[in-house]
Amino acid sequence: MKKILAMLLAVALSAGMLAGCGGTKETGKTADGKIFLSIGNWPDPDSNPDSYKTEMEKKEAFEAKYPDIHVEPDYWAYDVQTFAAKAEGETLPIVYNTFATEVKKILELGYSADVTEVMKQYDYYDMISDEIMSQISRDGKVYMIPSSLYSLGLVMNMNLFREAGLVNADGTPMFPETFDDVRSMAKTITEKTGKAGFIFPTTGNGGGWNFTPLAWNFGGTFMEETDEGWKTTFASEEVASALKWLRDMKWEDNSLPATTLVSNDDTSKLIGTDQAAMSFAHPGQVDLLISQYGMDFNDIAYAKMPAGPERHVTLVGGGYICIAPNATPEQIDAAFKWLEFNGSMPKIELPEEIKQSIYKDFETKANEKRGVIGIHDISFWSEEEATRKYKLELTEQFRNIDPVLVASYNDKTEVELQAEEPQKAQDLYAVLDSCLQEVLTNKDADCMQVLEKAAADFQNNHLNNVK
Amino acid sequence: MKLQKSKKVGTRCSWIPTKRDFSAWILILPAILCIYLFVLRPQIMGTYWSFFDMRGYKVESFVGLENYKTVIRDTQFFKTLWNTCQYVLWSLVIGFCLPIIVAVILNELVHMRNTIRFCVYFPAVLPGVAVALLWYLMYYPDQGGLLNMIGSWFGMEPYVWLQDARWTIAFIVISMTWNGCGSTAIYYFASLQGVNRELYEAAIIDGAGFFRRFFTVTLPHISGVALLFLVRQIIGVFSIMEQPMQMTDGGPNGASNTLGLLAYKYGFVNIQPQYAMAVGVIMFLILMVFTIFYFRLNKIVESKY
Repeated sequence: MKKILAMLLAVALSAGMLAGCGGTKETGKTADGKIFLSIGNWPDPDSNPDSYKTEMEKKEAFEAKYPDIHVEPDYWAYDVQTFAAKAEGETLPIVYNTFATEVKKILELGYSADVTEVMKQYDYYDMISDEIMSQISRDGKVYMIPSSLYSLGLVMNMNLFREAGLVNADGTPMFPETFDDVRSMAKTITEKTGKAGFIFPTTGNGGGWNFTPLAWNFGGTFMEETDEGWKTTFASEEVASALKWLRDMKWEDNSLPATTLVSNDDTSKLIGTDQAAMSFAHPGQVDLLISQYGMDFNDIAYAKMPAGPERHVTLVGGGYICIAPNATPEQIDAAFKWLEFNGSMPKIELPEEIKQSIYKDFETKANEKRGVIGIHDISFWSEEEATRKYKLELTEQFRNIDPVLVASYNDKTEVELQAEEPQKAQDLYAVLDSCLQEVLTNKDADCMQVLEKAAADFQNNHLNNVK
Repeated sequence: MKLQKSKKVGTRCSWIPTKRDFSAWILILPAILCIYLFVLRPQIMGTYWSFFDMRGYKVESFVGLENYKTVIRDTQFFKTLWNTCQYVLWSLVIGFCLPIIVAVILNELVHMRNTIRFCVYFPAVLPGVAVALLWYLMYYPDQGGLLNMIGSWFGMEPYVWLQDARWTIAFIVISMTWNGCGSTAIYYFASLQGVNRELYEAAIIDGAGFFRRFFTVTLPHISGVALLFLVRQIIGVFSIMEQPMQMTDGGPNGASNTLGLLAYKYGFVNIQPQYAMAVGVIMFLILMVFTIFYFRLNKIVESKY
């Protein structure tokens, strides 16, 4: 009896494993013949109950309007480590979100469906600005839908600013206008509070990503296309002066934290726990200070990128929506219907049901205190569209931060906007991470020598491989 | 009469399952499937695909040794290879003798044996990631770091620990040793338990002190196990990835980068699995030498016991 049981168990185990190896390919339809539409980034019912409820209500309303579509919540959010495996295994949600830094990779690898025809059919094609179109298209075909566009700014911990006395008479923040201001304010904060005045990431490619706009402001460039292909240009006095600016803050002013090997996430953590006063940040990182580190809305200020000695420029980033490459034409069409219903698409006239959907999103974000409402992003659709106008109205209605605290960031009139470097950006960031680590851990490092070696490495290891 | 070599009754090809073996084959089937799916197939396919150009995880075209050339031409490759060797060397300096010493102490203990055994083994049950985080906080370079806090009681200035590129690898190896020492010590301890107590008693009667007893009785007895662990440690540490990833991300300036971490970044961050597999094959070839050595040693050790 025992033997039979053991054998049965073994057979069951083997069968289970084999079953796990297989996998049902998406047919694009559910068993009852509805179009199957899985949506990524679905809020988790335990950690974000209000968002979950809002999304489920949205799903019900959508399915009632389109009874031939079944919306399937998918909790997967874009993750570098699992993305390629999911894409290759055809288990990506039909609609998934990604970031600007991943766009090139996704286009190169073909992990996003061609949506050109549907975009034209839904009249969105002509509404995308040329600059954004150049980023999301390849050979005249569009592969993504922009969902947000932001510029890198400077986040400030007002607790430390107040403690250091860096506020105006009426209590409003003193925004640093130039990088000299940033340096002197950081030094004052460290002297008066004992906390880091400024923090700069150096790992996980976050350092390089932040360093490129810093160097642009000092007049630096990173690469150029010549007759002989792409060449590095960052072993220059301008980029070295940007690196030296950081080095001096570390070794002369002592205004950077003792720990140097920090990621982008770590910078948010240190700002959010009153351990550091300033860092470069995109609006998502500002939201983290509220949602993850429980900061009060009045203790955060958000400034535009300060001006450098040569330029006043900042990096533009954003969020994008992709459709899984294995999606059927019916699923792509259903995805567009969902995005439209969700308020992610521009409209000249905004129907009431879409208004309600957008309103719910704002209301939930405000109730859950998931982040700051009051920061203005950049428009990537043509100006006449109604969705953005309605969102701006709701931003004012649900505003949860004093406008004074974000006034500097919201006024970007003087700031030049620049997209990330055109070739091998992630590899460039990794190389620049190493430069930052060297200069910020070795007091005697020579900035120019460090950059010369890094430039030679980047040329040899990466730019020479650009086809 | 010339004896004809006749077929022996019952002789058969040993790998063909018979009715008698059927239940045994069924029972080992899950294990075979596991080994095939998770060990053999990835290794074989990884080696095969390392000769192909890939787009994401799609195989594009045969490129011969091009991926290997790209990986080796990368200016970071030899630096990373040397780093990996440094991990092995440091792990031998710091981590090889310590479990033997701990096992001998455990063996000699008279009081509180179980408590101390538990304390020694406890770090081994912690997950590697938790240990890396724990030591990352202990090494934290300002006054908040535990080691700097202790140092400050004695008037020491805060030290940067993992950020000192000269010693980063040694500090990471210390954390690994803390994590792994207990489980290795238990093996040595088990081996020591097998030593005939009469040998010690005879040595004591002959007037041998502790060190004499250790070198003439204990060490010869555990030398076989120690040799095996030496090779196993070299193989294990050579493929290290999680600790530098968690504690330094390979920094500062690549000072603690390893071949394992390099392969991980190729494969999962840059989505260039062809290069990750080429690095994997290079690591495999280097480790193959040690593995052959390990099997030889294993045979010698087995014949001893």
